Amino acid sequence: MDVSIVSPEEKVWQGEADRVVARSPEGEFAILRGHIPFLAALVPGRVAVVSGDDRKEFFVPGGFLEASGSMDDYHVIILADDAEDIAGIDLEDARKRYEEAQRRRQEDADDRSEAMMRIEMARVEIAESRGQ
Amino acid sequence: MAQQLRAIKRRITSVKSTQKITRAMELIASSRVIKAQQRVNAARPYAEEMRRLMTSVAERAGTIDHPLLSARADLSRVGTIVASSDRGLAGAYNSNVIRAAERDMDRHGKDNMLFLVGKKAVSYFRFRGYDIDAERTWQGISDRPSIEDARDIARAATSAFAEGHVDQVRLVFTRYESAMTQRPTVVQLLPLPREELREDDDGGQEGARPQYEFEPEPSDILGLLVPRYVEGNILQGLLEAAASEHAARRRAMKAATDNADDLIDDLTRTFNQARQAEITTEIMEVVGGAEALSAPVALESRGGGIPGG
Repeated sequence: MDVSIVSPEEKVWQGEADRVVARSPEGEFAILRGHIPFLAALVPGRVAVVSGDDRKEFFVPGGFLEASGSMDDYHVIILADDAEDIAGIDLEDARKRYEEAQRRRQEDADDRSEAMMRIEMARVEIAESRGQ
Repeated sequence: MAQQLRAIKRRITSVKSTQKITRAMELIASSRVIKAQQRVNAARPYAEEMRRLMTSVAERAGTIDHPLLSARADLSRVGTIVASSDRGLAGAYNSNVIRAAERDMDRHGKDNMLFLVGKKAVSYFRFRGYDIDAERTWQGISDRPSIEDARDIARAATSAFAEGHVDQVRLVFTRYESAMTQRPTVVQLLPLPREELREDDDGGQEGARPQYEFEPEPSDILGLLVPRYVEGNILQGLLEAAASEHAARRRAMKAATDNADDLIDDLTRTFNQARQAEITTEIMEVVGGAEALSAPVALESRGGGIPGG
């Protein structure tokens, strides 16, 4: 099936894959070719695109996943607020950003600073657990 | 005479050096147009996909019940986002978009709240005595707008709408139609025009839309989609404005460079004429002088001839 990851500024990735794993507010799910048409909101976390032994992982702070099509022509489109290759995340930097976000939320506790903090927290967790 | 020649020469030199600058600016603008255009194209898949999802979800959510989608009875207070540039020397680019904004403000509502992108719009509206809040101006981004900038603007405009300071939000920008044509354009951002949610972009090609399974509920997804849709629209507008700005600057600088060519031709012609006039005068003087010198000799020889004759 055809998978593309699109951010507001550009198409981040596109290719063939067997399976896509992502996380909605209701939990982690996997999409295989032929899944019934599916539309999910994504929470901050990992989007994995698996093709045979090859596995690509992205950190997505939020967005949507849409899957539909026929058995022969099936596609998954991920509309991501942003998509970052997990291998490229600098753990030290991620921790610093998380601390900064925590500090900001303490200064100015609103929905936005809360959401930002959750994103940075998820980013650190993903970077820590990579390769596992 | 020689003084006049020197003056013309100086003007030619100065026009030539101005031309070097305008030509350099033209080349820079040309390469930026290409990059800006690529960014417009790169952002298109997201916008198109987002629109498709909005339509699907809005259809399924049934009664579209979202604060950012519901039109208000009174539309007198309008929030207007104007995308201008930070730098000038772009021909009529800024004055066109500002004029379009003013016209639109005259037509819609009486009480306007301005959200201004680019120094040019800020200084224009400030000079005109509009009440401008520094929190609602964005400078230094018009050249190369990013999604963070678009989110910032969307947040400011959306909260003004949600808190009831304005009844609608409109975006004025210059649409990049082609390298030759850019047109000031106004779109309504909020409340989101309903016809946009119904219209089918692929001309019914796809037939029936897939019956999605939603996670979470369609109405919740719609609530998450709408703000992103607004952000995406603002980004698209800013990117097109940036491409238009560079295209307008390239055109203006090309015209200036061509103009300098004409001016140099004219000046060179004048210079040559003046030089020729000077040479002619000099020859006249030499000839005149020579004649003056040779005249007595001729007389003498004639004088000598008479006795001889």
